[in-house]
Order: sequence, then C-alpha cells, then structure tokens
Amino acid sequence: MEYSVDEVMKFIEEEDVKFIRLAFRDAYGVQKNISVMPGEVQKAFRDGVPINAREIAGFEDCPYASLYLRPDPDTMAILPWRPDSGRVLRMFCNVYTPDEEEYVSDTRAILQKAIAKAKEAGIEFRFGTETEFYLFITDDEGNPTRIPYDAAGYMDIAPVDKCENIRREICLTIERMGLVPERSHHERGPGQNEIDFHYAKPLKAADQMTTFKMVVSTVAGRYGLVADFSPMPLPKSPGNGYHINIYAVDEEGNDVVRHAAAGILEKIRDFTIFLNPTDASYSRLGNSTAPDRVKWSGAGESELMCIETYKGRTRVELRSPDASSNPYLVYALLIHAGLYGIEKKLSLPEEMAESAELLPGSRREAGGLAGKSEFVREIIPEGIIREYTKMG
Amino acid sequence: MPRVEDIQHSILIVSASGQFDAIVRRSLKNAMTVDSRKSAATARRCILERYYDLVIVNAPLPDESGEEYALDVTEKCSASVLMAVPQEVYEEVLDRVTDHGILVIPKPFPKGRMDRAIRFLFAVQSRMRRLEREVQTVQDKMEELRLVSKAKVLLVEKKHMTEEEAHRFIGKQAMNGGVSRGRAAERILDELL
Repeated sequence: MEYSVDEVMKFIEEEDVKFIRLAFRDAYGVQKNISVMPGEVQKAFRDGVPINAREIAGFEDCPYASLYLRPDPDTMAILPWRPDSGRVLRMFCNVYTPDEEEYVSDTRAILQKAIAKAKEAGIEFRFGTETEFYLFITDDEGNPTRIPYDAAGYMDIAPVDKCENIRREICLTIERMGLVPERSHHERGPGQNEIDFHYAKPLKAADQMTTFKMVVSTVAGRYGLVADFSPMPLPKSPGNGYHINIYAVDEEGNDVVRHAAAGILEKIRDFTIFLNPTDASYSRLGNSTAPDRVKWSGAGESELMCIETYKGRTRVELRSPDASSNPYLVYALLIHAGLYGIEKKLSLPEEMAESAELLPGSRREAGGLAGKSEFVREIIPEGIIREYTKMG
Repeated sequence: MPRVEDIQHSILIVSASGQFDAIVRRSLKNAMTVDSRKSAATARRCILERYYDLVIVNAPLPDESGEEYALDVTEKCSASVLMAVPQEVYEEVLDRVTDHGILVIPKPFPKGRMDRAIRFLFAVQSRMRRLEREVQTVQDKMEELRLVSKAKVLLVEKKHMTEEEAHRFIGKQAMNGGVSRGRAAERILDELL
C-alpha cells in the first residue's frame, strides 16, 4: 500500500474516520500511541504532534522536554473492529526533535538508516516471521489467569485444538490490515499457537510485526483470552520463539544470503541482548527446541540457524529471537551483520560444528558482550544500549 | 407452531446479574442446555466453541454495552438474539439493532414478556431450521444426481453400456442392495475408479 498525505486526508473524510491513532514504540518495540482528531492530522504531517519524551523507555536521557511524532502516510490502516462511532485509523510515526532532526533513539529511524546503508551497497533484504504465543483464559471478571485455553499439542486439530477459531479470526483481521498471513497452527505447548506471515521489506516487516502483536492481543481480549508472547510463559512447557526468515539479493538478483548468514553468525553473540532482552529469554534458550549454540544446519530443527535451499532459493531461518525484542532493532542489526558478511564474502563455518560457541547464557552475559562490542556501538545509540544492559 | 416446552434448545444467557439469570431460566424450564456468562468477552468465546439457538443479552454488560456483542453474534452464527436494555436507552438501541434482526425488550419488563419474547424467537428458529432442512434436501438430491451421472459415464466408458443400460443398471443395483441410487452410484465409483 502506498499512500500520500492527500490520499490519507481524503480517506479520513470519505470513510468517516473520527479518531487517528499515531503509533510509535519505545526501546523494546512496545507500541505506544497518542490519538488526534481528524482536524489535527494536517498539522501532524506538517509540524508533528508533541509527546512527553522522558516517560518512554529508552528516551529518558532526551535533552528536550518534548519530541514530535510525524506520521508516515504509507502505514495507514483502518482498525478493523466495529466502531462505536466513526472509524479509527492508525499510522506509524517517526520521532523528531524540536530541531526537526530524527530522534537518535527512535528505533524505526535506526532501521531506516540500516536500510539506506543496504541500498548503498546494492543489497536488498527481506524478512519473514514465525511468531509463537500462548492463549490463557480470563475469568468472568476479565482478570487474566495462567490457565491455557486448551491442552492440544503440535498441529493438533479441533476439538482438541480450541484455538483454531481464534487463529482464523486473527488471520482474517491482520489480512484486513494489509498483512499476508501464510500459515497458522497449534504449537507444542498447551494453548500455544504459531502464525507465520509473508516476508516483506525490512521496514514493512517491522511495522507488521508491531501490528501483529497488537491484533493478536486485541482479538484475544475480545474473546475473553490473554495472548502471551513472552519467552517462557509456563516453566515446564516450550517457550515462545520469534523465528525470522532472512532473504538477501544483490543488484543483479544473485542470492547472497549465505554470506549474510555467515556475518550474522560471527556477530550474533555481540547483539544477542537485542534479540533476547529479558531474563526469561535466557530460560528459553537451550530449552525444548530453542538453540543455545552458534551453529547452523541444513536439516536440523533446533539449531540457531537453519539454512535450506528450495526451488533455487535459499532461506535462512534465525531461531534464537523471541518476541520481547524490538523488531526494528532486530532487523537493523541483522542488516548490518548481513552486510558485513556480504562485504567480506564470508563463508559459513562448518555445519553443526562441535566446537561452536555458546550463545550468552544470561542477560548479564549478553549485556556485557554488547557493551564491549564496537559493532553494536556503531549501530545502536548509547541511550538504548544503556537501557538494555542496565541490571537490577 | 410448536410450544416452547416441546422443543429442546440450547441457550446462552449473558448477564452480570444473577437475578436476571434466574428469571430467564424460569422461562426456559425445558431447554436442553442453558449456559450463563457474565461478560461479553467470555460469552464471545462461547459462541466460538459451540452452537446456540438463542443468545439473551442483559445490557449493559460489565465490559461492553452489550450491543456490539449482540451484533457480533448475528454476524458469526445463526442464533437468535434477544436484548433486554434499560428503558432510557430502549428506543435508541432498538433503532440501531433492529435491522440486524435483534429483538429488544425494555427493562423492567412485566411478567410474561420475557416468556413471549423467547417463544417468538424459538418460533423464528424453528422456521429457519425447516428452511435449512429443505435446502439440505435439495443439496442432497443434487449430490445424488452428480454421483449417478458420474457413475453412468464410467459404466459407458469401462463396461461399454449404453446410457440407457447404465441407467437401468444403477437402478437395479440400488434395488438389489436396498440402498438409494446415490449410494449404489458411489459403490460403482469405488469399484471402477
């Protein structure tokens, strides 16, 4: 979807839009928003809408009292639930300083910079995602419980799989918001589901991941359920992964993703904290089918990276990230590490190498590695590194 | 028209108040299943999980006005929907939901009104069921015709019968086996395909 400012304005008028949600994200990719009335939108495009910056995680050191949200018209989507009065339109925004500069800790801008660098190098990346989440029921008062919605297992069918209708509802809803859901099924854990959607250009993929989490939580809430994307919701059951499929081609259309994969494997320990930012993330790694070593395989299903070629196209699946990460930062780091591998024409290490290094085993260890890494410092601003590596 | 007590229905009552629940249950002595939920969210889950003939909403609900939930039910399934709403908003709500086939009664209601509303909606349900059965019968007939003509084609191709012979053959097989022509055709297809 490609929209201009004029088209958005016309749309708001024609579709009886009464409320415009301007969405941005904190350092962890958690969606935040502020709503404006239709009369304010033109001004928002021109001057931005002020927010109090210091309340937002990762924006605490901001030297300005206010930051300004400017909507990206391209990301316009109507929230597809039935409106009480008038419809609600959502746009993702970039965050600007009072001097009209992009704010350094806005992770969407960090990803846009990475994309610009890839473009300069003539490389085009695409990301697809496979996201897992648990569904727990709420009680009659609407309070969340830890009771899974069903007791089904991997790819089970109804009636054991009670989540089927919710997954359908989620897929239909995200489709109406412009995402392309490809596959969905019950996962290993009780009440655990996976929904995969089609790969997209990096910025769109990160916006879509944000939309996806919002839709899943909203649809679940409407049906008296709570969606939980956290890495280890139930101590004795499999964790939730956020697997990322990576594609990369150069200007001539040559598949260069193996070099990119080699670059990512070389740097991944440095930036694991951004793929796995919470303490629970490290309970997941090494548990069930979640990886704990920096190795890859062409066949396995519990390695860090799975690389396979099907019908002439190589797919690299990175299996360590979890959905408590910020997709904008994750894709930015993967692009930079990928470009590094492509530039140096790195080859993959030996498949399933016995000597493969371990991924960091704790948030502390991962934070330490990131803090020392030149590679990370070049990409991620100081404020965000501090946010991710602070202890206690 | 059948009377309420003659029919075994499955009903969902959505109401935050236990008192309302008790009043409605008195009007539903013979219903097969009566489920009660207190919030729109948990009631929405019920609609996903099983089939109901009638959904009764006591508005407002703790988490929603009840109107949106009622509209959702009409979209997602063929259950009839009855809303009981406070007198003050009755006209307003009625105006918004009436085109969706939702029956609304104002609260408080005199003795007997809930009863008659339920009877009315059951009657509508029975007529819908009858239509559904008729549609199903026609669909079954068409499926039988499709099977029979497919079997005929195979008999002509593989057993070198004329169409007339094939027609008689299927009829004979049905008679001998004491089954419908459709079932006989299915057996021929199983054998020759």
